[in-house]
Amino acid sequence: MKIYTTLILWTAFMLNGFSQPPSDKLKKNPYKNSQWYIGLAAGVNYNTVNVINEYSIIHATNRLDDELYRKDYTLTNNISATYGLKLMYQFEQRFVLGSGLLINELRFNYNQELPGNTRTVVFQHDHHLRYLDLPIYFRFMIRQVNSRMWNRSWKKPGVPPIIPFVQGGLNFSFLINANKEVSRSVIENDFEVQDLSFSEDVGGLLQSTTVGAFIGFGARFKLGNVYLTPQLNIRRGFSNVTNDETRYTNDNLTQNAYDVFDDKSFTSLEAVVSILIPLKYLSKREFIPVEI
Amino acid sequence: MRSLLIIVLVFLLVACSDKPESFLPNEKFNSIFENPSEGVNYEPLDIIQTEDNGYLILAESALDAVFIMKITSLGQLAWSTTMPATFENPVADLIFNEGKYYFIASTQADQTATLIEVDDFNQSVTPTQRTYVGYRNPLAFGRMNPENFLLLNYNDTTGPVLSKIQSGFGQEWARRYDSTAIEIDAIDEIRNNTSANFFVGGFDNGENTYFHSLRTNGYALTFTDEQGIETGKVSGTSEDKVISYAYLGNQAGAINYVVNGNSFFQLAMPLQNNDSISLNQVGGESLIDKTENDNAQIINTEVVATANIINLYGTVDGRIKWTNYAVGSGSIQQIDYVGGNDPLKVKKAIGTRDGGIAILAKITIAGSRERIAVQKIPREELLGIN
Repeated sequence: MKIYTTLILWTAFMLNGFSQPPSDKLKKNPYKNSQWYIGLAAGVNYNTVNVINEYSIIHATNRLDDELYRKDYTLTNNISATYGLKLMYQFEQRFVLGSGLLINELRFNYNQELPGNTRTVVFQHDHHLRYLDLPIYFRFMIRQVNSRMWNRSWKKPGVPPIIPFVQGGLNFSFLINANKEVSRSVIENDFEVQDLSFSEDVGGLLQSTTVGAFIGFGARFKLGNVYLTPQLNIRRGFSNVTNDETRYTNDNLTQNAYDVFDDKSFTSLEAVVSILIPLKYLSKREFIPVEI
Repeated sequence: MRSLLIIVLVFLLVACSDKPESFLPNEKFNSIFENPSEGVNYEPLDIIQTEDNGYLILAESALDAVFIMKITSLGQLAWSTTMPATFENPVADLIFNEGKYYFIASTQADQTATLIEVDDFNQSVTPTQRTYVGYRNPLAFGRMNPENFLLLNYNDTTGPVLSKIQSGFGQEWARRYDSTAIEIDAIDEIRNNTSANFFVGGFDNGENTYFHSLRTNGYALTFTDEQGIETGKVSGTSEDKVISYAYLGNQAGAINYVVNGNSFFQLAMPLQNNDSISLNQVGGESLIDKTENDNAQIINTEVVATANIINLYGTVDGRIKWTNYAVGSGSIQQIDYVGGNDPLKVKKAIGTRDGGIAILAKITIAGSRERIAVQKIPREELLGIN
């Protein structure tokens, strides 16, 4: 329901932006003082886990051995993809308000060992989460402000073809689905035998909505009438992604993989490239976009 | 721009509000206690809920050592200790008395029953000066009534001996029940075999007691009066055995037992004074999925103000099955299983203060590591409302 409401509001947000141009009778034509952009974005992300509270089914019988059974969050195989639509509203030469609807896939993994003198049991837990992201952010374009009366000027203003920017904002993530793969191996005399392997839907063990913030930087390249914007963002979740009320409710995980989720949030580094198309044109016949 | 801001604000309100989740139990945990030394296998014996709603667990580790562990109300290890080898063969039950917890263990030297004190606050386990000299081979310890306790021993020459232990842990009386004893080796064999539990308890404020032990004519659940004089017995052949018993009131109790290799559960076995009942006559529900050599536990508890009996036993597929019966009607309210691929055997189960149950079990991981498992099942699951 929340996702549908968000979609409706997002559509309203878009329609509001594309309402008919204001009156040309104004001395300073507002139509030429702003621009809307829509585009596609795609990229990769690298995800790390911030543990808030540790939970485990496997504990030591002695506090001195606690460390042996701690989950080991791995730093490899945590790369995944992000892709979707972007919408931006430039209301000033240096300021842009941005949003979008993006699919953000996240991966994280951990191992848990039961060490032994002759036999070691290793559980491997791999996770693949898919969120619908709705970011709201401000972008600051690092450029010189051109002071001119746009509707009195006879020549096209000099907008730099490459504009670096910094940006920051909030990110609202709605969980679409989450999957977990578990395998158990027994290692004995350097021989490893996998004796358990299964896949499990873990969507119910996670919060359906999470909130985070991000900051980043990039540059806008003008390519004809479109803009290419490579950017690098670092994202940090504010809230616990684990649903603490359902932590022990998946019997297959608790009884076979001896696993429950920690309370945690994510930090991810993402590299995204967007192709943005301006939506307001001085001449629609000749496709001359408004440039501010 | 203003309408844009309004839309953003509305969106933030929608996104940040969260619809109320349907009720899900959170007083639930599942914990396995591991040791990196593979050979240190554990035999869990008893669990008791502590004053802070955590749990104290008594177990035997490798070479009959006494192992005590305290876990929190969420199933995490608080502290643990292994007693010196001068004490061994601990027996259930753990009992609570004046702020401390107690159980019985044997001295290694001559198997004398010794009272061991557990101080949860100071995280210490110490033998008391209270030894029951002449009462060797303790089999079970339990509560007779709120003030007194019962100790069951196996005497070398006369078989089972039941003692009343006063609130200060002094021995008030001791009774023997057979004129001849069975070889003590047989008791050791039984003690090392998980199939038969020795247990002792009282009901009607101690006016009646019961104990389960090996007697000259086989395993028997013996009933006595408050002076330990035998008033009844439930027994079978030497191959038959009582597994567990819980008194319900009105001269009836729930019993798990095995006859001719078949397991049964009788929810309400009536008892009259001086009854000598053959297990063949007890009747009840046949537990066709129960492993004969597995323990079974009966919890007499209250779930949402109604009297309930929860029966738990190990199934042939290595899990634990629990069934919640309403005492009055005998109707089944809920059935469920715990456990997965690795075999899980129930050792003890107790009702908890929040209306749930805690199950103490032994789990064998990857075919070799015998470890302690504790699972807390909330009241809502017992009633099937999750």
